[in-house]
Amino acid sequence: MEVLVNGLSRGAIYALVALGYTMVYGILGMINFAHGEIFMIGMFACVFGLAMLATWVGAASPWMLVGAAVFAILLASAFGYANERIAYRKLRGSHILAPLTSAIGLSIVLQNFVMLAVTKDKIDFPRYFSEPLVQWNLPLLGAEITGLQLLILGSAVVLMALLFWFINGTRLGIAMRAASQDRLMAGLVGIPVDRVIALTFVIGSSLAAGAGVLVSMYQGVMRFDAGYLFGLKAFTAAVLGGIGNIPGAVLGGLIIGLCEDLTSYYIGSDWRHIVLFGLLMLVLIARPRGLLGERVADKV
Amino acid sequence: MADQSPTAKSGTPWSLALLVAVITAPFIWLKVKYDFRTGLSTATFDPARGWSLIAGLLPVVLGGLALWLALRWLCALPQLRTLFTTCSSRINEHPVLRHAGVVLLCTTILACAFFADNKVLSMGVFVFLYGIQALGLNITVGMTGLLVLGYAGFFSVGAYVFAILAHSQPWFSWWMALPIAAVVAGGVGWLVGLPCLRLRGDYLAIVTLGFAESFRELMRNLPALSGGDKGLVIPAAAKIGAFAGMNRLQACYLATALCLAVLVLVVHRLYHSRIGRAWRAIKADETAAAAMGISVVQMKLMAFTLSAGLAGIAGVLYAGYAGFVDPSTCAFEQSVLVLAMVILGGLGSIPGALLGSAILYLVPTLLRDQFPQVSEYRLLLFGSIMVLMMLFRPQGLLGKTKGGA
Amino acid sequence: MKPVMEVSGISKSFGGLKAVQSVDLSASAGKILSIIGPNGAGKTTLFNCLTGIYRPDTGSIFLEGREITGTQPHEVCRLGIARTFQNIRLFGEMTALENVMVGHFHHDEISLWHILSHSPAHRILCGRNKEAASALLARVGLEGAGDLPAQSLAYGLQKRLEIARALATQPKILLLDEPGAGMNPQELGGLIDLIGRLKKDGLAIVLIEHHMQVVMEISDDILVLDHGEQIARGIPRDIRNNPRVIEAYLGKSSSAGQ
Repeated sequence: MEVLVNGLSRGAIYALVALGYTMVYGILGMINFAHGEIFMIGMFACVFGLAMLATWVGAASPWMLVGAAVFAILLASAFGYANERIAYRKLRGSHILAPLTSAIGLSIVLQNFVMLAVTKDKIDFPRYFSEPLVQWNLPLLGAEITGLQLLILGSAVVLMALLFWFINGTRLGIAMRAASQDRLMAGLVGIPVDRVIALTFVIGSSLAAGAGVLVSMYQGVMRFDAGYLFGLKAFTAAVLGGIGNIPGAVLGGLIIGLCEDLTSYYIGSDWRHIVLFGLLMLVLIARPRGLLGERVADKV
Repeated sequence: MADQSPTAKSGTPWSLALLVAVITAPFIWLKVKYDFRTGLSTATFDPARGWSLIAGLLPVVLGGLALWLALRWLCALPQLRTLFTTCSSRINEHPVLRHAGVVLLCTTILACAFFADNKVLSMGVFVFLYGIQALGLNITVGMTGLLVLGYAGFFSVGAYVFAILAHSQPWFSWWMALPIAAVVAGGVGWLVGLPCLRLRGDYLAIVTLGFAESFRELMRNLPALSGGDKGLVIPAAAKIGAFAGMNRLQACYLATALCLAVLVLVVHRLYHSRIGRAWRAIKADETAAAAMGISVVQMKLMAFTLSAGLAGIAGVLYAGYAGFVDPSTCAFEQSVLVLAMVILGGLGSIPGALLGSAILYLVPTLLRDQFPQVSEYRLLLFGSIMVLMMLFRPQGLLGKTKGGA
Repeated sequence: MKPVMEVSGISKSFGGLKAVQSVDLSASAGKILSIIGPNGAGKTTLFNCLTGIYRPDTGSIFLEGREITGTQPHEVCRLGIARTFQNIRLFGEMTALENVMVGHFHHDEISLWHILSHSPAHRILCGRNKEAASALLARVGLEGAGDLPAQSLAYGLQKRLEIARALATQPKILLLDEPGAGMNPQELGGLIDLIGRLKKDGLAIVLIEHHMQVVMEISDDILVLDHGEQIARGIPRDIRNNPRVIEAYLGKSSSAGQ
């Protein structure tokens, strides 16, 4: 049971990051390889935010966590926006390799920038803010759910609900869906496609930053390369669920998270990535479009 | 997906630069200190660190810019241009000239084996090793248009196949491993490629990346077979050894050079055959290629298998030279390095891939002696090269100019 | 004469949209069948079904008496159906000659060993391929353009190059998707000439075209589609006077007003 809860909360975080991959893929048809780095930047930004608040205010209070989370989300969104403007916008409409290569380069640049500018070593999440959450327990069906896990599950649900409301219920969200159906047509009917795409990056980045904040508390330490493997797994989740498909990303994230914790528990954590890779290959063989993906026809 | 988004416009560089300055500021100027006792972090404004970072980056940025401008200036010189075009057309008209050039190049490389000093020779070995890898990766990425992100995974399959065989069979030697590793790495490539090459788009990139990560983990988890984290030391008898009066280094140099030469010939011939044309057609337009009777999946698989096989050969040569393998041979960094070489040199161009590998290996290696900090900025540099090349010169240094200009 | 290709009851829908609804057609050697209809009538979708890019929901396609429904695109091409595309889909960075040589792909199979050793057999094949490709370029009026990258050619020439590339696959049937789109009258004349010559060589041609004067001039048979449905079929003179065709093109009110 505890394994399930661990797996679910891990999966919820993968789902948050996977959403960013899937949204960008849906609208631009490219793998935003640097998305994992946005997640990492969210982690660092949260620590920076907490440190700045604690220093300037002088005393610490749990509410600072909220402020730091907002700071992290804003900063990561700004990074996401800047990425799109600098490295991707010019490459729209060129061969599929061009934006992908640019994204990989960007991912390396961001990682190494943080390594050089901040540190090569791990940095700690201030324990003061995370400890009460970790120590507080809720017994449930013979397992103990920590307050942090509740927070993770809760905020993931809230963020996803906000996202669903946004894309299904608001004008901008509908514009976004239209743009991912047919970008040219959306532009012709007066949707500001550039801005919608930028917005997609901003929203995806905010979700990733939210995930980053939660993970940084969960793990307690972070390093500049935190986004690489995490991003890879989140992307796997997006593929698993059917890339471009938003509920699919959530489902895929949960499956990946559960699978990872179950493997660690029953086989050994050294094998979890091998199991995940096997799972990805199986899905690609059995259901190339992912679990919830539909067949999309190539326009001829 | 070719679309001309009607609203796409170029950015406003200054506001973007300002945005970048603002968002990177916390990373550059802040120093965060963690206090174990209170469990709190504090942030201080730390200009010294920020300036030192900028001071460290500045020479790299300026150097790169200077190099770029110098290249642009050289390329734009009308005399040089006409010289180049007349030369190349002469060479195209007279195959004798081209053959003479190839012979000259080969003799120079051969002569180096006997007259150059050890430092040059060992750099030569790596240039050729990266050359083989860039050549192989160029088949998939450059010619067929499939992105492979875990190329080092196949390299290390080759290296491990060799190491494991050499450990179990005392009579085993490196040259026997060449065909075996090529076949095994190619076979693994085929298996990895099979499920994702049926799909359109860029699944291959992520699947190969996942493969490289998984393979590394597998090798770490099987200490009995692969020596775990420590890796395997190749028995002296199996390594590339001294022969015919040459020392070991000279032998390695010649062996890698010979392999590279043979493989260049192989890829060159494929490039100009029906298979190469099919690859290039697939890169340009998959649907149209299929409508012209090309079995797209089969051709893609072939390209990818071949590419993985070349990586396997490079892996054997590397292990035969270095004398050991460990899980770090399939690090992401290695895959990215080779990818950056292919992109820099020019996607789809064989001389471009070789040039790119020489530049990206030699420049950081030569600079490392003078400026030790270069090795820290190495990856940052590769990443920037990938982004900047895509933005400003997607066809690479030696690629053909778009629009047939 | 027995038709080369016979198609019966082909339907294809996307979601709720019925793009093609039970269309029948047949193409014979040395004849030109034109498919006309307003934009969005399902003409290109029909082509995509015939060439294996889409799998039709219902119906069957027979090529020389053999069912080929649901065959992969490259297999369809091997069996003898070649096509051009509405929006030009050349291999832009390859030269015109190479583009045509790509079309040779499936009938110049040679073992890998010959390629790698560049054996005499391979040399002969290369030489023959080059000659055949040059001859095809000449046939469509692209002499001397062989070494230019396809994307650097003028629009009209690119359209011709697509035809040459399709011919290189040695088809029995040639599907031309709006070959005359965007051409000036002079270029159109050349195109009509070219298609006429291909017809004389005994090729079965299926043509999608918007230029009515072209269609009426060269077609042996015309099929009219509207909203995916086959609304008329016959020789050019009958089609010209068919009230349903006029209605489809001009709308209900105007045909009622006539």
